[in-house]
Amino acid sequence: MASAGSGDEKAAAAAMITLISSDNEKFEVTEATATLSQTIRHMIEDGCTDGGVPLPNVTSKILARVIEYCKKHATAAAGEEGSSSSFSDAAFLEVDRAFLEELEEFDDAFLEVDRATLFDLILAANYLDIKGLLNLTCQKVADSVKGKTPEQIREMYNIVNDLTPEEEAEIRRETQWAFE
Amino acid sequence: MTRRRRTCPRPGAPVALPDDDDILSEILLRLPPQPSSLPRASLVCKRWRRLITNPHFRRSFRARHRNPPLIGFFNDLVRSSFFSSVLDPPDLIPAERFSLPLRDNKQWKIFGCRHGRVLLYNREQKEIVVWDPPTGDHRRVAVPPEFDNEERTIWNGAVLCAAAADPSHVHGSFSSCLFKVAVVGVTSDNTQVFACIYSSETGKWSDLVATAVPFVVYCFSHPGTLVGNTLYWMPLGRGRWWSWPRRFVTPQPPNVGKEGLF
Repeated sequence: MASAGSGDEKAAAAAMITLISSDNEKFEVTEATATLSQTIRHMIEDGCTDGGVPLPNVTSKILARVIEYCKKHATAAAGEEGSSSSFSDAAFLEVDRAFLEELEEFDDAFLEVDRATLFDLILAANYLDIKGLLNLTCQKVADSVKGKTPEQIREMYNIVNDLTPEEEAEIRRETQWAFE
Repeated sequence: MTRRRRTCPRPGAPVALPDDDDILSEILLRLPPQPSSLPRASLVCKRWRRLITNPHFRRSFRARHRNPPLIGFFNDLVRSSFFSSVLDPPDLIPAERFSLPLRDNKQWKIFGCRHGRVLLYNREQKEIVVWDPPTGDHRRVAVPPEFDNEERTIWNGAVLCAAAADPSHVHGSFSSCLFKVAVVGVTSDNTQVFACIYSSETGKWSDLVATAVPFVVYCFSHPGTLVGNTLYWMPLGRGRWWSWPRRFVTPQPPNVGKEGLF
């Protein structure tokens, strides 16, 4: 558990940032965790974080999840950096693979949420500009659409078909094979 | 923020996607590159169709999926429709979807496919055609006069995207994506091999490059193979490999399969 140890040591020494959710709950996080968000990184760079960072678009429930994601990924990144100088190449590769596997398992478990939460996570990732989280959550939605017919997709996401019969006929004529 | 859903949705109940075009585009960009993905998604509603048909989205989608699946093959025998899909429905594209925009199909020979384009040659008309099957668009190129079918005969060729060495380049239509054509041939006395490269940027052929071979050479019957930024052809005679001088071929990425489309 060298990774967790080195991550914790760094966390203890790092500056803390206060994030404030839309329902006024405060979250203390390390700068390393907070700066996974490009939005917050820019605010830190501009010196706008004294007194906390208000996030009026993110509820405490979602912010807690977002912080959970950032903590894990920031710790993994810090662990990777720390290990590169203290292990031999072979050991480093082994540790590297272990990190990736652990992260993958974490991400899979992290995505085990209902759709409403998933969409709120996408909105938060987009607002906070956290590329990894946006990619992860958008890919989850894209995977849910994979192989589905237009009718199934509409039903799944409560989408009204507002295409005119002519438009629909045109699409089907051009790519009829895709609907067989 | 959109709050059209219930406060406590039932598990599995339909929940509306975020009402934001940028986010929806991010999701649609992550659909798999299988042929049926975008047609199906574009039939969901007007908004999805508008986003998917946006040229910028199309470019981003291609850029994101740099290793798309092999969708099929063009057969050696050139006919009005000579495409064979290798995928199962709903990704099975019928042969008629890629119908050749040429008359006198029997006179045309297929030299190969690369970077989304097909290269065809008509020895009688001394003409080359570069064809973009998805759009049906094509470009005709007259072969260099030095290849007169008597002293010198073209035996094979390859089409290349002129910008394929640029990792940020996304293949597209003829207007946005220049191409090069390389042809190889043999002299009638079976002692020399020739090559020439056409650039769609200049609209011109390079000077003919020739080299004597120390064996009796008949033809180039196999398609060329691109390795790194060098094209290789094997002349049929005594089975020697002939490598192109590097300076005659533009740098190209190595991950292209011969005869594969896309």
